[in-house]
Amino acid sequence: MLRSNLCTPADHHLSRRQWFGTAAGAAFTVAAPSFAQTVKKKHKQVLFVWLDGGMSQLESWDPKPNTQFGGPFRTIQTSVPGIHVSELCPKSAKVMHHLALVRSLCTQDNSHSAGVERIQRGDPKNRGVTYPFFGGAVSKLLGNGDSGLPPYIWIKPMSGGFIPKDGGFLGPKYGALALGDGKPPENLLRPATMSVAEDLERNDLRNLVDKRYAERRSKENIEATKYVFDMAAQLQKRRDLFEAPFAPKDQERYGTHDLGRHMLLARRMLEAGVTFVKVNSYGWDTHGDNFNGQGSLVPQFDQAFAAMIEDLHERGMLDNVLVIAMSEFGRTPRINGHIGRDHWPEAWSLVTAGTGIQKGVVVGKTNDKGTFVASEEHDIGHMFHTWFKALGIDPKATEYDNEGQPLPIAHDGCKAVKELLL
Amino acid sequence: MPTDPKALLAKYQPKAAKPISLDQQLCALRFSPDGKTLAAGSFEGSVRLWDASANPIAESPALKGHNGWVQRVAFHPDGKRLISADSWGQVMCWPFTEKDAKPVWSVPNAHDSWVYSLAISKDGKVLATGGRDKTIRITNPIDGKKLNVFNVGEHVLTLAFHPDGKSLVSGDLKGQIKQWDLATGKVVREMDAKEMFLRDRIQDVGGVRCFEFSPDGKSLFAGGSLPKSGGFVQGISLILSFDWATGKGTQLYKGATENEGYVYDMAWHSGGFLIGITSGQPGQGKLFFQQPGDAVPFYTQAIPNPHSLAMHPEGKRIVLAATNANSSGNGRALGKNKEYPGNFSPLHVFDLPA
Amino acid sequence: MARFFSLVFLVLLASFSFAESVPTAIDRLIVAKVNGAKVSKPAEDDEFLRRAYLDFAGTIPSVEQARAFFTDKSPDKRAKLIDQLLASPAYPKRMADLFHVMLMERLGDFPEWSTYLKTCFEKNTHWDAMARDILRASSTDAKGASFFLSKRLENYGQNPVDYSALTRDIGRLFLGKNLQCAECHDHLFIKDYKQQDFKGIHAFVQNTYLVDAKTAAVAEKPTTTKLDYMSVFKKVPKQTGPSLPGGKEFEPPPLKKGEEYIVKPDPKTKIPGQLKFSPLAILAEELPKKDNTDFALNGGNRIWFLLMGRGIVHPLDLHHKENPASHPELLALLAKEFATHDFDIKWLFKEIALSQAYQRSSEFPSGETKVAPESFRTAIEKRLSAEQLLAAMQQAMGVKADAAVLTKVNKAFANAPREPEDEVNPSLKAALFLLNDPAVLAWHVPKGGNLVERLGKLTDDKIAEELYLSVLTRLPATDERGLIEGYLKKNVGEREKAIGRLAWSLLASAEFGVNH
Repeated sequence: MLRSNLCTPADHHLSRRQWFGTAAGAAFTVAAPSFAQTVKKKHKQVLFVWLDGGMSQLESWDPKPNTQFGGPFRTIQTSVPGIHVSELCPKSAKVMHHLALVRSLCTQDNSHSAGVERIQRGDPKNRGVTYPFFGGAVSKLLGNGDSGLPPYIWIKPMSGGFIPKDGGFLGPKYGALALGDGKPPENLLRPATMSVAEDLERNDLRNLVDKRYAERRSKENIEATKYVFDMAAQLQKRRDLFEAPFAPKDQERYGTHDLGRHMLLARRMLEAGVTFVKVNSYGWDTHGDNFNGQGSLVPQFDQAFAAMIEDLHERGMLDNVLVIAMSEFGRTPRINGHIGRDHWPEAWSLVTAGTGIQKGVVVGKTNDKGTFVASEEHDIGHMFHTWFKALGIDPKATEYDNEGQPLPIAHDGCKAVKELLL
Repeated sequence: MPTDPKALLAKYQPKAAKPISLDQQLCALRFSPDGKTLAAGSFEGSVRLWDASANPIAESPALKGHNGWVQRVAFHPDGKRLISADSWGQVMCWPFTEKDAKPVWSVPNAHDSWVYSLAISKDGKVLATGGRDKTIRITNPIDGKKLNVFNVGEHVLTLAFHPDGKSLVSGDLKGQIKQWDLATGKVVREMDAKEMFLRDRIQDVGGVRCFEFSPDGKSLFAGGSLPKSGGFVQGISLILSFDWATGKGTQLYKGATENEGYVYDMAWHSGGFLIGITSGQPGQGKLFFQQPGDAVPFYTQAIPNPHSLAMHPEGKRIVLAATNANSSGNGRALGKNKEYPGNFSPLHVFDLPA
Repeated sequence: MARFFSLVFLVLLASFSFAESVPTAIDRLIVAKVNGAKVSKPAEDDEFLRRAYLDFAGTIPSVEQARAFFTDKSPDKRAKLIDQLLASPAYPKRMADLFHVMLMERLGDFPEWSTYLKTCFEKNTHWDAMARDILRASSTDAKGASFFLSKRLENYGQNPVDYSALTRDIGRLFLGKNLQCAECHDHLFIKDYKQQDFKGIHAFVQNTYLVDAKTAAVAEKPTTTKLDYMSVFKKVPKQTGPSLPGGKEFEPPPLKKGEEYIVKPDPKTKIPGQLKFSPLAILAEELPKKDNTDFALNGGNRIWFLLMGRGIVHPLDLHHKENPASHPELLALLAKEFATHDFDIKWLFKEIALSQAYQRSSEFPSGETKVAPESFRTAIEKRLSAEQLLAAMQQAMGVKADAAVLTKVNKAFANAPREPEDEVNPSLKAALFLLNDPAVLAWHVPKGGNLVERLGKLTDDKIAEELYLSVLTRLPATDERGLIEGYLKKNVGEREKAIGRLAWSLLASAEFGVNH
């Protein structure tokens, strides 16, 4: 595979005005119109857990105990005979029969600044446009469903807001609504002093003003304005999602730390029908003191993730929800002087599960020392093909239409990983 | 009365010998009571041994049988046995002077996971180990039998016996120091080193990393850092000195930058000063001689990432297990032979004038 | 670059008559490309007035100012208004905000930087002089100007200093060329952008460093060798000294260690020394020269964009052959005239503002539903910055906002750092701010002589006019008057609240939210 410091597709940006055209207009079509109907039968959803900074494959899904780079931890058995994971993942080990591990990832970028975007955009061939993040892509391809909620919700620590860039060339409409620290966006809730009727009335008046203004002008601005005000109204209707407390037992199972709380909120969003829910944890970039670092981080992920898998399974939702947990790369086998591990895109792992995905399997392997992939290498493009297929979207037959420019939805040099698909 | 730092430096100015290269990374390094043997715990499940009376020191066959990392080694005061503990929870006792030594005893699951800490009482009657399983195991060092288990409730990163032999102190991840009554297994008192801990996002960072008592037992020194971030783990190295009588802590040493990281190991020198090492970002790290009461060390030497420090029982030599240069970097950086290179821990030997 | 400059202009200006005024030439060159299509009608006084106030004073006019302008019958009242606004104390403040957002892209704030910018526009410091100050980043002269560099020389989170981004931003903002994708190889899609171009600029700044973020002090380590680089495709080792794209290479003299300084730096006072060979000093001197085509074209294009809502080359930072100017001769004219007038920003603002193109309506020509923005046949809706919005909201509602509200408005309407604010972009956070923020809602309760209180004292038939003039700087149309009177009649039982809702519906409207 070509290894270079190639710049990201994001760098070859079109003007955002052009994106807007796409977002507001109806330029999008798909080459295979039948798929939308197929998908509609049962709304597919995605849970995407992003461990920003780089989870260590050696301290999670691909341990190499008692080897030069293996680190201090042991492996444990899982619920699937023959599959072992790090002792830091005891709870995921128990639900391994629902999961698929990929141990053969080999990707292109070892820097965060570029890597995060490249991975989440599926690193397609450069077409001179900025591709959407996976969440934006899935929102576009699967739609909102019947939830009445925005299709792409991103639960993250710290600040929230609307993140248009995730929509890429599809336009800001396919960006993420970020719930900072799981809280509703600022100013979401109508003050108690205002009645529903008053709120409706002032917005009706505003719509009249806007309609008149747009009569002889470009429709883009007005349509985008309408979209954001409509979204505000939709969210307002579902304020219960943000206000109802969680059962203490669930809080204990998922963990009271950020990742646990955010995962639990994600379960509620999935139950409410949101198409794509991203849960983000930051701070995985353990360049120093890696073994205490990952030793602290991985078990907290393990707790929340395994609880989510149990609950999705119990509710029968794994049949419709595609689950992914990953980072932008793994961590170096080599242990540096600060007892840390650096960035390693050469051979790393992820976990996926749910709709369309095989259960209780491991795909790919690394060599004995865990330094390089010893089976077929899989780039993120392969995974995008696989995940689109798992969602019932044929990545070969489906294209974006960027104002006349047909664009593949995933890297056209890659293909789905068959062993992962049902 | 503190000694003039200049006089101390004139007297103890260390002389560096040529570093001894090694093919592995090391966790721990200790001299035997007679100073003739140097032992090290490695990242690859072995205890490495050197004849320290040779010049330069000469390696003898390693002791094998551990798994994961041999995080701690300690010599029994009788000079005949060496205790070692690994990251899979195993504790072993070796007649290290014998040829092809086989363990005297071995307890495979002394702890449920990583053994972070180990200490032997001065009279040689009690062995204490502490681990990621948040307990302290009290063991008879003669036969390895369990005598007691103390529940600490946090990862036990370091342990030390007070010179009077009655008390054991533990230092944990959250910066708590606990004094234990060996007879009852009760916590007698707690001392606060919480500044050595940071919860950054969802990562627990820092903790009390090493202890040393002054020989008169009046001061307990606790080494660690003022952690500033998880991930890279930035932190300003720190030693707190606790007055044993009152339990009151004061700052003995504080590093200058956030790159210096942890004080990983310390040793008291009979000349009246503390020898310490810090290790932080790759390539950073130092050896320093700090007299209590002085504002700054009277001697400082940059060494890339030292992690353990062994002092000869007579104080005439110190050995550091450090790290090679250029130990870090993202992505595929292959060596000259196209092999993926590992790092290693060269031994830095310093002779101190008597 | 110098060698290309005159050639480019000779070709492009062949049809430019020197007797012709700049505004006339602008309109001639735009109309020449409409291919028979209609242009929009001239903006009415109200639309022009609001536009000019927002552009040059950063706010909307008061009701009295609007009425006075509408009743003024003098034929040159628009030109007089432009002069008046350019001379007003609001102008330097507005320009300081505008150039801050353009140059810093919300990376951060620094009071001395804001003061520097404001002073520049008070004194009408020209663009080349500003560029010199900013790129020189001296800690003694032009205090505050160094913030452009110092902020970019800070660590971003745990990442090391991003010299590539600094290099890219100098190229983007001062030369109109985003060379980012030419860092590791010649640009894959833009033939004009070479790795040498990136590395040449990089060589100017590679040895700069931040001395102190608190004072924005920047210094340089000595540069004694050329910068080594290699394409990731063709692994041929290359070298370059500091150089501008297509320009001369400045060779670092091989000075011995210890001999690099005229005045050595003082680590105690943190005062940087004076280097014998200072790439920053060369950059500051060479880049803003009149014969640097890139600098003149970028300057002309950006000033045009600021008033017209779209660059003649667009995106603004992609000047290259395959992204040609919509009106090459016009751009050449602007660049040439801008350079001839020693990069006098205020002068160029005025020339553009006097053109018919600037004074056109934002309504499409009758019968049309879409007009390509790059034709400039219709005025383009411009984004209002958070600063403009807040000022306009206060003016409209007759209220004073405190610092906390300013922070909120910034959060709701500004882009994320590093995202240029060059397009209208309605967002959920902005909508939610307008819908539910307590500060906004408080403006709609009658209090302390604010708009809603003022309106409450009027009879129903007078309210529409006062409301529309106050918020939208125009008189209501007949149907709008009818709507308002009808609404008030219907809500006679809660008149105050009804007035509040009416005011809100205008304040939250798309019409208020842009400079149309």
